[in-house]
Amino acid sequence: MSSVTNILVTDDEVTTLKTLSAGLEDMGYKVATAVTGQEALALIRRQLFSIVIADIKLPDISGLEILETAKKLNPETAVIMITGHASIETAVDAINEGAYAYILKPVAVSELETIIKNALREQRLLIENRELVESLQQSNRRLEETNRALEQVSQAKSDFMAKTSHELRTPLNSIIGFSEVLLSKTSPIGETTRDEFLNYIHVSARHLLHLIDSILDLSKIESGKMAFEPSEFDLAVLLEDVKITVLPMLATKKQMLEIEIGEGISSIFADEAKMKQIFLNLISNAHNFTLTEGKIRVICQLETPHLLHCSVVDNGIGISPQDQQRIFEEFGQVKTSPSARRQGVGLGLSIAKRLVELHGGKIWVVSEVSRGSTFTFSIPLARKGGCLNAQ
Amino acid sequence: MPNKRVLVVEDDLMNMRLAQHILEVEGHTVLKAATAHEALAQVESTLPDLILMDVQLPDMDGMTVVRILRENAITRDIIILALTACAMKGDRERMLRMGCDGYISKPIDIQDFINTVRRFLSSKTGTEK
Repeated sequence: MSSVTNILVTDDEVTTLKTLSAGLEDMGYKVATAVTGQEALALIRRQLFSIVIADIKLPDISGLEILETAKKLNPETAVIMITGHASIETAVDAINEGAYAYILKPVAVSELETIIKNALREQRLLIENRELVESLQQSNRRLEETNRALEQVSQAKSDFMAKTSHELRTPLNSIIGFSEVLLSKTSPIGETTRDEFLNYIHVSARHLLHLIDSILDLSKIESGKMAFEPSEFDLAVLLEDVKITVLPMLATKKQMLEIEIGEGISSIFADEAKMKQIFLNLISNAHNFTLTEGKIRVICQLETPHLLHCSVVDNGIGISPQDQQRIFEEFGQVKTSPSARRQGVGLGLSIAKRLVELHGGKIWVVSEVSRGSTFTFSIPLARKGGCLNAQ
Repeated sequence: MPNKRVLVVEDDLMNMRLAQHILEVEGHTVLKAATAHEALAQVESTLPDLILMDVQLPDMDGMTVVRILRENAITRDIIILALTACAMKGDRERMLRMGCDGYISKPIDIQDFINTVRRFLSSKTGTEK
């Protein structure tokens, strides 16, 4: 409530009204007066009063009606009834209806002052109390929200743990199992079979290493330890480097790789190592889900002078709409046909997504089953003038 | 141990090969399925003595396959052992509750694996469990 206390005094006896309002004004209150009930109601509806003082007996309406209206509009308003001996029962009723107090005529201003001071003190306490409850409720709600968020994080963490455990145990089963078979002397094993089993141990161990590296990468990003370290570099040189890295992998399935760099792109300002990782992961994904002799294209172009779009396009098996929802999740890869060597560890896209986001960019997929997939990421080249060919 | 027909449901080819090798050395005939649908088709046509069931299959959850088999009067009594890399707390109980007779976690201990399979097969050839 504001520093000046608004008080409304209603009395049909003009002399009393004047005495009271003068007395209250002397005490520093801002006083409005009304001689009829209707006048009082009109004032109450127009402005907020901390205290409403009303004669119970008014010529037009009962003071109780003023009480009712005042309390309805602002429950914290303290209403003080003025009453003669004749209407004292009504005054008692008024107390039951929520009036703060009643005062007998003739009204002594000093007595009124005490009542008003008490009323204001109580009012302040009520307001403080209500504000306190509100702020408690608010912080309670915030705590509940935080709690829910934490629960979700914790649930996501244990889901990740369960999936990781599963993914680690699968290659370990081959490694431990086949090596146990080879070490046991109980059943003779031919040379061909022995080589076959040794190869499984090797492939599984390699897979395990890749998996562990990926999990470490992911947790490094998760814990915020992977810093964004942008520098100026030539995108074409980076892509050439990527190409040299992936060619042996692509050769195993006789897949072709084409790189197209749009006009106007030369040097860009981004995190070089992470960009390379993004391309490697996307090409590796394309490789896994594209058949022998398939074609993979990398297309980079400037969407605007400050926004780079890069796509990795394959003509592979594609991804159904429902699977597209989860492929960027950890271990959200689509299981297709059984394979001796699992197709990737299921973390590459998830890592790529995080690395793109580290650049402040976005990644998405457009795909059609049995036609192929296009993974596109866009990253802002905000600093150093973005595309640097103009310099 | 007389020759039995054991169906291995497993989508990882290397893990499949391992189970196949161990079971064949044990003298069993190994039937294979890499998906839930293949598994259901195999069970229908061959009625194996025992099924080793992986849980995460490409097309369906392995436990769903177990439920389907348990609901069918003909396949209801086939011994099913979960053979799974789901080895977190509660996984074993969950799979037994969902209708598996036994549970083997990966990575397997070959001797344990052999013993478990032997135990279930002999309990079944004697009297009904």
